[in-house]
Amino acid sequence: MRIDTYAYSNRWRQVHPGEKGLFALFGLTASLLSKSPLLPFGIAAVMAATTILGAGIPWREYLRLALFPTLFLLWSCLALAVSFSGGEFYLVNIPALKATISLSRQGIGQAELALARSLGATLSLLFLALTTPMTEITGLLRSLGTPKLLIELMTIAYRQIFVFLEIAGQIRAAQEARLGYASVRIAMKSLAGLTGNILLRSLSRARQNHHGLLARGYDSELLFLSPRHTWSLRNLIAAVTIGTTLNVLALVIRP
Amino acid sequence: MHIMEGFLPVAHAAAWGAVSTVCVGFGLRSIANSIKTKPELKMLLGVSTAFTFILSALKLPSLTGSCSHPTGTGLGAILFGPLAMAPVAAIVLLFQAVLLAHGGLTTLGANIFSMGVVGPLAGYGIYRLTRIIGLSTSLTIFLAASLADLATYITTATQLALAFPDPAGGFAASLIKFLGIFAVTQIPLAISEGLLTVLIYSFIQKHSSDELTSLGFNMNAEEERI
Repeated sequence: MRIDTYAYSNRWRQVHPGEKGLFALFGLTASLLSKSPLLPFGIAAVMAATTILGAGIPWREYLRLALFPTLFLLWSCLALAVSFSGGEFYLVNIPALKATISLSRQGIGQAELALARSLGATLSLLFLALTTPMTEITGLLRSLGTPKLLIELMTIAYRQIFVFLEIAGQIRAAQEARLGYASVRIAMKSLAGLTGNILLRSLSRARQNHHGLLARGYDSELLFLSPRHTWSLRNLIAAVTIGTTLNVLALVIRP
Repeated sequence: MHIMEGFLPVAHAAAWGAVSTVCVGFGLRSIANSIKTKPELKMLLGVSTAFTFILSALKLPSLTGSCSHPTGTGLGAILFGPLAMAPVAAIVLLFQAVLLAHGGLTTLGANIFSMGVVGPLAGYGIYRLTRIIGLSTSLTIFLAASLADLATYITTATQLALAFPDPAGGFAASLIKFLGIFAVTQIPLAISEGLLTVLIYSFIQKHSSDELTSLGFNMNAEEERI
């Protein structure tokens, strides 16, 4: 949960979440609208630069956080480039399945574009995730008219995650100290004990929370206060200008 | 299995988003109706959402050694019923995107549809069906959990094949390709999740079916679900 820690401690913590959200949203749409792989790589660079130089996330840490989704992405793009129905670049023949694995020119193009778009979009998302805490994203969603019930469930769940993470860590450490993950068979049993325990705890925790709410005059509605943020004209203009430029470029640039 | 941020073309992302919005809205309405008679349900679902998120953060020992994690869709559908799972999955997937950079905002709709709608419906359907046939509890739970996973994986492969049809063979060739490639990680995952869910279920039943019953779950008889 390193991302969450940075969301609370970065340099742009006090910036209005709407401004950061708008900037990330523009990055997302521009990445998706791009027709050539060049622009999304540019968007990725803009987003990485803003996150590292602007919000002050250490670059080593940023690379580490971006690495996992990128690897996952490469694996997915490999699936796009490969074709079983005969491409230009022949790779392997599997006689048992009567199939040939090959790379097709069009498939490679598709994979290249998907990789670029996805990278631009992922780094846009990472910008929002690293600069804005979940509670403020929830506040943003609330002001955008998300159903109240969904917001309430989100808030309850977000708080509980950290409670459970701590419990899960403790149980896991205790199990490991007793060689609970020594073999696959034992590991499955330990994991079932861990999950079963957390499930039971979560059920009784829910009951306790509900009683706690009732004791405090709960009237089937949870009320939240959002921290006050002021819109900054300068940030807003910057976000809209850069965002619109990227989107216009995405629509204009042809492969 | 998540589709990464920005992976789907605009039209597909928007279409899946619209479909999932309807499903989540439908789920929320049925939850809101149940809350009227059982007000403690809101807290229960909120806390269970956190549980599902934690579940998806655990590493599962997988047969091929690939890194995979349980999805909890089968277990959730059995405990809470399939309709409640769409909003729960929506929140879990949003948290995974924002807190773990796994999945994404533009592909949220497609992922909710595969993990929050198709998976739970398949799992719950199989659970009811095998109950009627009269298979043993362990087998019922195993089938429900692992087939919910498989349904999710097939849906994701279909979504990808629709978005990226094969240049020569079209949709069908592309679907076979995605099914084949992701089978390497997804089929072992489905089997291990099925086994894990059986173990979890028997653990809960052995240690505290009383507590569950007092909370409104009856592990032995038929119970009310959303």
